[in-house]
Amino acid sequence: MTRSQSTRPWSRRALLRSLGVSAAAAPFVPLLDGHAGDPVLPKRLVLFTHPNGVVLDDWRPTGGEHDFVLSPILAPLEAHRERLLVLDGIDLGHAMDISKSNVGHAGIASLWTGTSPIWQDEELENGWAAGPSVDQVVAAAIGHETAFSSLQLGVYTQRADAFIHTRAYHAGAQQPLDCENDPRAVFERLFGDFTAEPGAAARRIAARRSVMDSVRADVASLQPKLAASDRHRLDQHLTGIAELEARLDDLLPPSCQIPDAPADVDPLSNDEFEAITDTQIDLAVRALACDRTRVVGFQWGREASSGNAPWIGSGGIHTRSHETTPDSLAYRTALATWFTTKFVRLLDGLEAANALQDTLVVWGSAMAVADLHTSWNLPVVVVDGTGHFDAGRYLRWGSYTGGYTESTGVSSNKLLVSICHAMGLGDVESFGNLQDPALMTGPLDGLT
Amino acid sequence: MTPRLRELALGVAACALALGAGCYTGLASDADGLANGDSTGRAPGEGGSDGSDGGSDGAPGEGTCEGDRLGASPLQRLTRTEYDHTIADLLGIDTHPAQALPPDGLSGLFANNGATAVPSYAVEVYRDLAESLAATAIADLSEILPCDPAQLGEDACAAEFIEQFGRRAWRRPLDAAQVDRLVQLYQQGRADGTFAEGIGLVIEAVLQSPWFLYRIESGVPAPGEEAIALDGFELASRLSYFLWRSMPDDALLAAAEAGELDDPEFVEAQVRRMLDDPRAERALLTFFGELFALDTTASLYKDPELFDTFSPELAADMRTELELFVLSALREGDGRVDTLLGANHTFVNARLAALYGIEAPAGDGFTRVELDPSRFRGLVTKPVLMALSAHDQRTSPTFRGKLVRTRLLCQGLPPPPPGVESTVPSPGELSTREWVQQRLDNPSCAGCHELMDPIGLAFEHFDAMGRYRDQDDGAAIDAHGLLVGTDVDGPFDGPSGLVDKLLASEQVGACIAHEWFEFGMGRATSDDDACTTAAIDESFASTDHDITELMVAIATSPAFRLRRPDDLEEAP
Repeated sequence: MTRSQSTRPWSRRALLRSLGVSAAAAPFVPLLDGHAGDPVLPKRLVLFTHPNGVVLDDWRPTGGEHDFVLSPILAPLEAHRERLLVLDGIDLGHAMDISKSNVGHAGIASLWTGTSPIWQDEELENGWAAGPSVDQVVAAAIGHETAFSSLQLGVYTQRADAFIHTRAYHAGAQQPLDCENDPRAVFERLFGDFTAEPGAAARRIAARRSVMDSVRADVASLQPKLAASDRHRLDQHLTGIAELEARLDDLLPPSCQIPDAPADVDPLSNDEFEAITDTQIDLAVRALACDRTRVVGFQWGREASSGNAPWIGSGGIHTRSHETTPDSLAYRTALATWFTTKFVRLLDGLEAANALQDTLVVWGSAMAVADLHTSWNLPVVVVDGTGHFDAGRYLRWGSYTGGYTESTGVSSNKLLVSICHAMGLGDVESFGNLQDPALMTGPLDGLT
Repeated sequence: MTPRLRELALGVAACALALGAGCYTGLASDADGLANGDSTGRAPGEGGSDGSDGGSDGAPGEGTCEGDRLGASPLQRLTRTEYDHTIADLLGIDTHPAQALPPDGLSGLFANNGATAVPSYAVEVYRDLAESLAATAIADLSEILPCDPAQLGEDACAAEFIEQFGRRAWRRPLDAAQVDRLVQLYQQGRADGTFAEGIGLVIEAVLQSPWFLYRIESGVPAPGEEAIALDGFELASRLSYFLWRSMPDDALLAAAEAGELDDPEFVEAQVRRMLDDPRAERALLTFFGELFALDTTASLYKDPELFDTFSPELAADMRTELELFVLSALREGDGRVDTLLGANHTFVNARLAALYGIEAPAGDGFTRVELDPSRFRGLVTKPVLMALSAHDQRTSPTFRGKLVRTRLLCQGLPPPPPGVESTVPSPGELSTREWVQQRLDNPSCAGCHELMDPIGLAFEHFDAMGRYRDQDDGAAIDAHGLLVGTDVDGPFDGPSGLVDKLLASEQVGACIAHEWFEFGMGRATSDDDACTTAAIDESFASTDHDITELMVAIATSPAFRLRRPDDLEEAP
């Protein structure tokens, strides 16, 4: 089927609402033809994050606002030029707030949250963001429309500790969200429930409901025995159960093409990263096109990781990112260009599924230049399918000419406000938890 | 605490402070830290050794710490390792299913979910795991049923299963309401399908319950007490998750039920029984695996142009070698730190034999071999540690020195500050000693690097993949090193010289005791634990640093069977 999914929001709950029945009362209402739903335009948000910045001189376009020429790194984006905004000269708000040009790898916790971290142990760089990332704020507003309020997926992002370099997306203060790195697990979560025959599926749903009732009763009987902080943690567990239960009624829109189940791979194997990247991006496209979620956070790697990209060249990604030999500079630019091709894979996939037109896609890295750990002049690319922004432009702030210690005065928090506005959250005036309110308030100038 | 130990503890704390403040203003230059670049250690008594009296006036010793405040005991959710072991012991399924779960949190250096929020998707993973494990388990009912349903009757057998399985999985007997709920689930599954499906539904619910996923501790209420005792079942779980990283066995649950765990002598007998059990290997392997971040071995990488014999399989073998060595030193051997750090034997298969340049053993397995003690000593020269604490193309005296400083001396080091240019020179460009000297000559680097690099230089006989060498780039190796900021300061020659110094250090013993305490208690130490940790340090020293006795001392310490009551809400 080629019908545009974007104009037919097939949230089952939305459909049932339009029919005037509750989901609980009608667990097996047969799917109706798509015309029954109101043609509400869903908006979607995808954030795309890569570690260790870029070689800025190979990233920056040349030319003017409209007649810009894309750089070697960004050249693969030419086909999406009409929706493109290259934002040059945004500084990490947290770094501006503490007047430090280089908060380094820890900036990943601030990039999408606009917060200064809460440190568990600053020496060990253990800590987390102090508030939600923008995708989660958007998910809180629109996530109830879909089976998954948001989806975090990535490639080789995990590390089993509180190391601040590892997570870009956060549900709230000190609530990092782990990205799922295993494509098979992503597939099972998104589509695994839709492969059984109907009678078995119905029995399974009834069984799951009973099991959840039993688990909930266990939690309830346990709560009085626990300290307040521990009770709070079990409350989070209950929230997870409630979300699962709400999902029991979900059905797929008829236009949804369930992808083939990905092969089992070792998500921590360096040799698989290239293939996993493609599979994860394709699953993100399917998740959006099938309206399983409207908010996706994608994270490739993690800051300062020990992983490698042998398809680019030898050596560790992080080690290379700190090297300034000609060979390493070429490696870094080749890797960043590869990220662009993956970003374009996402865009092309969405476009082919007719889902790009309502989607805002934002790509950033928490550092500009890794060998100096700089937090000024972050590389930011926006592809706007929502029509909110005046796209097709290259915007450059500040007088940056190659020195790395000069702030442009334009805070990344303003980008987060702009994202909220584009996603329909027009009443968001400021974003983050910085000491200086001016850094957090208002959208970026000149985007719309 | 003896005056000597107190002086040491204060010295360590002062050093840690100096590192934390003075050293940090310098500019370190290594791109990565140990293994993944970022783990450092903590000093024992960090942030609190000034309170090392712990409010206790009496000399520390068995029982005298009772009545003191204790560190807080947050609710523990099973770590991935604990989940896997528990499933293996409960259902006989040994497939490491917990890899699907989100990564664990961390307390100190060790995996721990005492302070980690449970992300909502984890609840879904728990459900998926429970469903697939239940499906596997009911494929052969005879393995898990205590009775024959054909003989006893289905409902009666199901009831028996619920009572026994529930007690093992939840690590305490079920109450009537809990049994009722599970019986209803069985009946629903049976009505919709087979007897096995009814049992399967029970297993699903049991494995998703907080009683399974969390280690519930409320203690025996004792109003007005400074510390309250855990009940027998709660203590049984603390013991088994410390010593086995898994659930209690039937004997331990029976001891709890009989009230025997209220008696310290019975507790010690159980502890010794448990340490004799093969499951105690899990605690040792988990401890050293987490201490040295050995899971990163799976992504270890060396430049193939320089190290054409390196392979992921060899890296896995290196990890196995270290594990076999730890088990041989601590279980078959005398269990002492001297052996762990000083012994010159190891275990090789054909690939490792090639690495060592010795004759390959017959067959595919690992064989014990004795190595030249002037070259190879104990843990610290194991190839896996040498390879993890090196760059892709060349060695890193910084990482290797940091390994010793943070893991064996428990002295914290900050990560490199942001903003440093930190290119690793190509092997031919600059000799390792010249590279180190550049940092030591730079006042803004030297503050931190003098604490690491002069130790790490002693390992220069080991190349970046952990292989012994006589020359580096045509020049003879100079393996002289220097220790500063410890109780055994001074120059030494090579790893063997370093190990001799470490074995003479009281700080090393105190550090290992401190690490085991955090590992055993599942939480960081605080001022409130000073009396307990001092007593444990002293008993560890008095056993010539026998790690088995250290585990006994921790498991039988008063703190281990108590919890702090002010965590608890007032009764309504």
